[in-house]
Amino acid sequence: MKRSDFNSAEAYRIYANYIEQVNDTISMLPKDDVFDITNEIDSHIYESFICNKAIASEKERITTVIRNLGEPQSYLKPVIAERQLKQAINKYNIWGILKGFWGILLTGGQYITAVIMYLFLLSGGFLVIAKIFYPHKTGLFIEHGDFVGLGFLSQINAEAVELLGYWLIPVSIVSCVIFYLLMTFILKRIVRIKTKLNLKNRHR
Amino acid sequence: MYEKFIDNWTVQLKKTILPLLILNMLKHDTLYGYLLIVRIKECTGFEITEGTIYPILNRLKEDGWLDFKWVEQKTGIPRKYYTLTADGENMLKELNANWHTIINDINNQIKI
Repeated sequence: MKRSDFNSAEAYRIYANYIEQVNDTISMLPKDDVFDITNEIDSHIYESFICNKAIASEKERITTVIRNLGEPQSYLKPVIAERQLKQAINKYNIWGILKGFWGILLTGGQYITAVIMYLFLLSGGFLVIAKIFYPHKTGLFIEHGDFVGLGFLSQINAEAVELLGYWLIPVSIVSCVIFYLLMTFILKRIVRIKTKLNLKNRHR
Repeated sequence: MYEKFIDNWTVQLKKTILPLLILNMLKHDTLYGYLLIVRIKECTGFEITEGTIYPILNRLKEDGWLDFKWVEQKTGIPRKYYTLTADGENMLKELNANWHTIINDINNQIKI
């Protein structure tokens, strides 16, 4: 909306502050997404503002419209989380992926299985640290040729043998990296297939 | 005593059926967000806000059930018109059938 759509300077200020709040909330998203979201919210505000002429005061009217919309941080949370996740997957950005997952988890969205699989990555990190501080209790253990366990074991039989030694550290790190790349690649494919399906629908 | 439970239950129920309502409204019409809110209020009396409808529309769009196009207006503020996609139409047929089954089953129980 423009300044000329308002007679009251105060009403315009309230509107402009709100749009600024929306822009701040979505500033981390790509330009196209920012444009799309801001335009849609602006359109909502305009239609509501114009159609609610029963409220004579522009200040009251714009306040009501904005109150109905709510805090941008709150209703835009699921939208941001999903778009951020897509962006991070495309760039193999682990921090972005975790942030996106966190946002989606908070809003009860999809990808719960993927979040759990990513959490397995943390177990690799845990093994590295455990091997440094508890070298005799951490590793790949076998007993009389049978597998006993891989990881940190609080109780180990005297006859159990640890196979990897300090090789566990590079093995864990390499496994984590391979697992991370594989997971992100799969996620990327899933998102791409989903986007293709959406585009196909749009062009039908 | 039980008013709070009923209020919460009603709010949750309305939230749950809102996507079904939106998809059905877009079955025959191309509508923009604000008009959808007005139509929903007119037809059902549901008082929903823009902040509630926006994430739902976005979700339905991301899932491929809705499509949109920006239409320029004389006012200078374009409107984002939503339509049902072909997949959305097929999905809605099944969704409506499920809804009828659920309602019938519940009504049969309520009669008892």
